[in-house]
Amino acid sequence: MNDNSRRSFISTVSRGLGSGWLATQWPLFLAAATTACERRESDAAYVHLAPHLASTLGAVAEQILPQDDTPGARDIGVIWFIDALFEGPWSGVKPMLEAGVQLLDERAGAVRFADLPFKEQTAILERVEGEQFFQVMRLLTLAGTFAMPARGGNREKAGWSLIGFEDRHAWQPPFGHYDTQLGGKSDDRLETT
Amino acid sequence: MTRRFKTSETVDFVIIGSGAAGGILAKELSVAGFDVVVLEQGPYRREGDFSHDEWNVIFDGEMSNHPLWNDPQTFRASDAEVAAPLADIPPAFYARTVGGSSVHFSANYWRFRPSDFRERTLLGPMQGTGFADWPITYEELEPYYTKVDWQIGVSGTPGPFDAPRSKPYPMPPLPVKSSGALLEKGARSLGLHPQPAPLAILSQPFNGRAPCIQCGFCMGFGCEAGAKSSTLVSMIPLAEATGRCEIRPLSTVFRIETEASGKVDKVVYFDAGRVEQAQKARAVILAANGAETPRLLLMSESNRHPDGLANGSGLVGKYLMGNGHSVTAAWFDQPLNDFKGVQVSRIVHDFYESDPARGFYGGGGIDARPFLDAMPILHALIGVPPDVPAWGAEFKKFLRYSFTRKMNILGSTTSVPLERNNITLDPELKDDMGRPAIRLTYRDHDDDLAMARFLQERAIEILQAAGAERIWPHQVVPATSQAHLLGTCRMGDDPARSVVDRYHRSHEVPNLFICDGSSFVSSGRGQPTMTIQALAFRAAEHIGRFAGRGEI
Repeated sequence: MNDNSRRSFISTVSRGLGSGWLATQWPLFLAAATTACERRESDAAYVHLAPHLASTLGAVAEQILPQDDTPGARDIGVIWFIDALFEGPWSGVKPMLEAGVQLLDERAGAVRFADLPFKEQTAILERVEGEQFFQVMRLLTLAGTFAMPARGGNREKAGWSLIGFEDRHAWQPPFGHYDTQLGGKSDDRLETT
Repeated sequence: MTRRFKTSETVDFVIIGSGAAGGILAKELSVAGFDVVVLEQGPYRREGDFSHDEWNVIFDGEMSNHPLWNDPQTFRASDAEVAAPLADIPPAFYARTVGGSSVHFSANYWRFRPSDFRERTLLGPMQGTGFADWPITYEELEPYYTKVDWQIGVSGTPGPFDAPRSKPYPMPPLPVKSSGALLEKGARSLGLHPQPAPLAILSQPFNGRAPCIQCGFCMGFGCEAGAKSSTLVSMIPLAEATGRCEIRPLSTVFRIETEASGKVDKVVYFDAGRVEQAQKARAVILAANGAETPRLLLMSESNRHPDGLANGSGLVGKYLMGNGHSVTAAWFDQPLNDFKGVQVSRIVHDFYESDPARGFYGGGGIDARPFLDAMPILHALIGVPPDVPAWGAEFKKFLRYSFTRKMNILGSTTSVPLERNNITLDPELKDDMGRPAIRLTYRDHDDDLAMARFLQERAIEILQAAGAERIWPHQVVPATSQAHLLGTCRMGDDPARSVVDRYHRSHEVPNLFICDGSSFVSSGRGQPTMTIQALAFRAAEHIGRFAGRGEI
């Protein structure tokens, strides 16, 4: 798993260090995530995100993966995913996100970013998409959409259904169109020349 | 029955590292009747501990981080630069867990060919490099490759270019996937010779283990079915069953001590509670991987070994090799669903040998796999082509289309041994326990990059011939992070030009053995684990013999 192009795409994130902490705290961490799932369903308040931060990040996430005939990032629970992450070392990115929200509100002018019409929000984000804040939100939005639902996002596996991933975790061949069509010799023994 | 040794008890062997090599050495030597303590810095995760939690495993580096404290690493392309940590992956990327990287690998198992062991003789010298023959031949190693097939558990069928083998594969290949079927179709139409991929993954029940359930989470994850043939499931249980082997996890070695006569006599480590301990031993085998092994030797310097333990040649840490890589992505108009099943089902080895007509040294293998696109978050992050919007409604539409239709072709190449590529101790950065950080200095030889680009051009041709709807290559650039860590304590007959002899014994320290990827003299074409393990079976046999004759 050694791919330079992967790392050139994955955004730089200032992670809190202390990986040892993560290992010792792992049961609590997962418990926090699972509880986030429950809180999401009961619509309780976020633990680590103040309301304005949460609503602005929700608007940004919704821009990244908007609702169409399927749920957008906000409904899918991305902000719950982020809230649960801030239980641990990832809370280190919170100042960056707060600064990003401030930037967006400045660009928005009289009305706060979260209250702007969708298209105006898009225009503002198009101008700041190179900022580290936006790249981190993109990472967290996609992670919150496609991580396992116990982590607070991907509500009812809506993220996975969107892309056609099924978490059955055990499969039988044939798997897809081309092995059905082209493969399929018994025992998969090729005639070698 | 779990055996526990006292640290004050002088055991026969301390093995540092429980991975691809360490697991085999532990099993072979304890079965042979020796008392063995295995010191492993990682925790003892078992099948029931392995999740498919992509966020935790891939993004939080659950298995690559040190379990108890922060152990950073630094990278630089050359010694003209100051090394610094990489943004999101360790420069030396490996798993810290009982079973080591054999727990999280994709299980591609390629034997070397006879030519791999003697390319210097076949092709002539390469000035300014460490290009050299191995001190052993394929024929000498072949019986041990066969042990790997039958004891670790490898599935496959002979390919058109295979070297001779003394026994057949123990199991047929795993079922073909769409990515493999397309590679096969494209390659055949170009006159190439695709073959089923040999994998250390069980296609049938074997040695009391269950077969693969095709879950799709091989790469980066532990196998909850026990079907991926890590040493955790294939060797460690057998070692422990002898009653003579203790696996001691959460044990981070920082020094190997020698006594007055110059022999090693104990291994000093931090235990799970961060307390210093010292295990006494008659002999020590270092199998910590091609980055950690030289690190420990360099940390074990003394008056007798001012440049690091066993480093009279000055070569400890040097000649770091990886394997070059190219990645070419494609969509097809129908779903492949390559997120199901193992990573690789078909490979092409037509370009394995070096061909002077190309104008550069090098050879490689081609395989088809979902690669990072097997996983939902990673696919969303980096899986769509660069000209597709990176966010918004259009992006979301593409994601719906792309995830099931995506595949990649990987080219995997030789890596020229260069002294300038090495593992050293970072002069500034330390881990939380005061150990100097691993500093990885690496820049590909031009021929490695040329070979990777050559294979990328072939991949594009194959994908076109297979009828891809869209193809986009990832630009081949010099590597930074390395998962294949090779060459840093190379084998050889000449003590001035190698760190260990042909039996993995240090030239200078008669009871210190080194056996892992660091032993390599040349890189092979990729997928080095099978060769690491063949070397480990062979080393264990000889080490056991030396010990039995009182020659250690």
